[in-house]
Amino acid sequence: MILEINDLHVNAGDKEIISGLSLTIKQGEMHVIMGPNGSGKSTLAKAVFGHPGYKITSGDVLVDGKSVLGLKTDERAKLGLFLQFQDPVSIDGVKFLSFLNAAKRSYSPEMNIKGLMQEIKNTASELGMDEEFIKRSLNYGFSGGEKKKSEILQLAVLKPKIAILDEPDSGLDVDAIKVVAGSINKVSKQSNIGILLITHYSRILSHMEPQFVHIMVDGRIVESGGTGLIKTVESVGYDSFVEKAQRVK
Amino acid sequence: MAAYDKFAKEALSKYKTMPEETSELYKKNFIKLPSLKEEAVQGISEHKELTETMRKNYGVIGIDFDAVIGGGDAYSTNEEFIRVKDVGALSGEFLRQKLYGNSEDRYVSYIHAFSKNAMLIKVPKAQSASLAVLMFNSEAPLNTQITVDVGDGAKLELLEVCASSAGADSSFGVLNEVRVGKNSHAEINVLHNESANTTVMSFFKTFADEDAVIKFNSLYSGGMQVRVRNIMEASGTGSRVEANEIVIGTDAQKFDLGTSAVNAAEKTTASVESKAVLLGEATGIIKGFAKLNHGAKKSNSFILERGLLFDNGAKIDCMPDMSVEENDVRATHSSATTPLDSNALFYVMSRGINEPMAKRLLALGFFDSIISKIGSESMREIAAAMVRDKIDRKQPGNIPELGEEYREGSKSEDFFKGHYKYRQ
Repeated sequence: MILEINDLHVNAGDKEIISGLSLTIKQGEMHVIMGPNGSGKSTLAKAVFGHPGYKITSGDVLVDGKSVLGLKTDERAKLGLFLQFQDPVSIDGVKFLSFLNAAKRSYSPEMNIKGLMQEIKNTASELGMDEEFIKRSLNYGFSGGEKKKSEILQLAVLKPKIAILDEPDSGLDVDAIKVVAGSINKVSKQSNIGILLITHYSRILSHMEPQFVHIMVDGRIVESGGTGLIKTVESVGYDSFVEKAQRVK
Repeated sequence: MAAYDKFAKEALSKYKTMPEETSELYKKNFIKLPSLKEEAVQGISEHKELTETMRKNYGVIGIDFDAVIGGGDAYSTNEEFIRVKDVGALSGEFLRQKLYGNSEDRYVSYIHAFSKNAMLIKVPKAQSASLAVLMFNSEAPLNTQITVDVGDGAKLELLEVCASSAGADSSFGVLNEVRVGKNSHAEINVLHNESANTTVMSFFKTFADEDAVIKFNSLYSGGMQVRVRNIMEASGTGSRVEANEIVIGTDAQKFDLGTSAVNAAEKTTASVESKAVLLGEATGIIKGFAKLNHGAKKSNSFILERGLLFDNGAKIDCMPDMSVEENDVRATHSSATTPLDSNALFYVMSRGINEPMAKRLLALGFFDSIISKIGSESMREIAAAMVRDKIDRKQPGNIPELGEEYREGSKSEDFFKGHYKYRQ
């Protein structure tokens, strides 16, 4: 699968948040988008999935050459796209197992519940989660770390072709970051998943091997390169990239 | 016969002359029912074609009914616990004590006046019973009365399914009076699934004696106009009464629920939890009333009302209220109504779940705190199936199909097993 984002412009209300962003991600590749707060990273993730709060004013999002802008959110997911939420909603009463069961069925109608439960238990164990959480309501009463792990568990079970991971590291302690990064690496390699990882910080990237790194400022990518860019951000921060973005304006 | 005729005549007279309602709040907020037909076709016979058809139709949800009333027919197949009587054959004392006392309400008077049959359910002392009854209206109104007596130390699980036959465009009215003896336990589950053309009137009065427990779980899905009045009284020391209400409405359905929880003795607990999901242009009025009587020391009372609106045209008014006459009590109430959370819908759909199914999941999640209180696992599944069906088809009165979605998330290995009422 190939996900192409072509000259995308996205508004939230009257304000333009994404200003002509282009990016191509192939299955099996790992891309990282880094950028300061407010640069539009999470908006990009939600806009690709058709969040009703964002309006695409021009540009396109294509999967294998076909525009997905006319598709509903669930239809985009069924193509093989996955979005890990930075702050997933808590839904009291919707049991995690019922939710994941319904999600898995939408991808794999032939799936059986016993196999699913075993897969959930195994993955939960790898993530250091108590398997009792599957009886709990979806993200309800979860700690910040549990929410992140719940998202990665869903990634592992649903096995998409391309996943956008919106800050899987935020709110996690150093040990949990290592565990989550290890799970992402394992799942993406096992299932040949293309990853677009959004983060502020380089810490999680020390446990990963991205091939492409992009710096996003003011709704556009101002520089792309390899892991060398991570070191630049570590040493000098985003100031030079912000200046570059202002010059381009 | 003469006694009943006299009561019926008085009740009808009252029905015709009572003012619409006296409260300004009521006039402003509560639905007015249309003119009701002064006719009813019921009788006592056995297994007429229409009742058998309805019985079989609803049998697909796994219930074998012990008694059926509707379509000009009325019978019990379990006379050990349920008797179906022509109300004219009942004694004046019975009528006065059990049901006629409800006649302050004009709709109660109407149902009372035009009831042809009454159902008497009695569980003797220290015995237990699990019973299911089916009532349905057809082109003619169904008006009926049910009295339930649960003896000391006895246990009852009762299911009432209220439905309509095909093409029904009339009214459905039922009066229930439930008395539960000392140290006894009653769980009553009522499913309203009448047709879109039906006017529904339902009245419950329950009384729990010393250390008794009454759980009254009701689901209102059917009917174009639904008027419900319940009084749940914890009458004896240490007793507990609990009303759990689900409303799922679509189109232009109107629901008007008023449930009073009364603490009438010391160390009692009375609660009402009501939740409504409304779609289309459905409207709902949910009024829970807590009444803590003088002398009800060390009692607890709790009213909770929640509304969830799926569409812009839907509207709900939650109005919890209370009257506290005793100081040494704990009483709380709360209410909240919200539109469907677009972020929650987006989140669920981002996992490949289509919008109708996502809404189903969210509705079932919303109702989970009530559905999970239903003691019987099969009843929980049937209630969930009714909610799913309503969200999918957006019309009342369909017989729901039992699906796997909810069941797989909650069922244990012995689903339907070990209970003679429910098929494997």
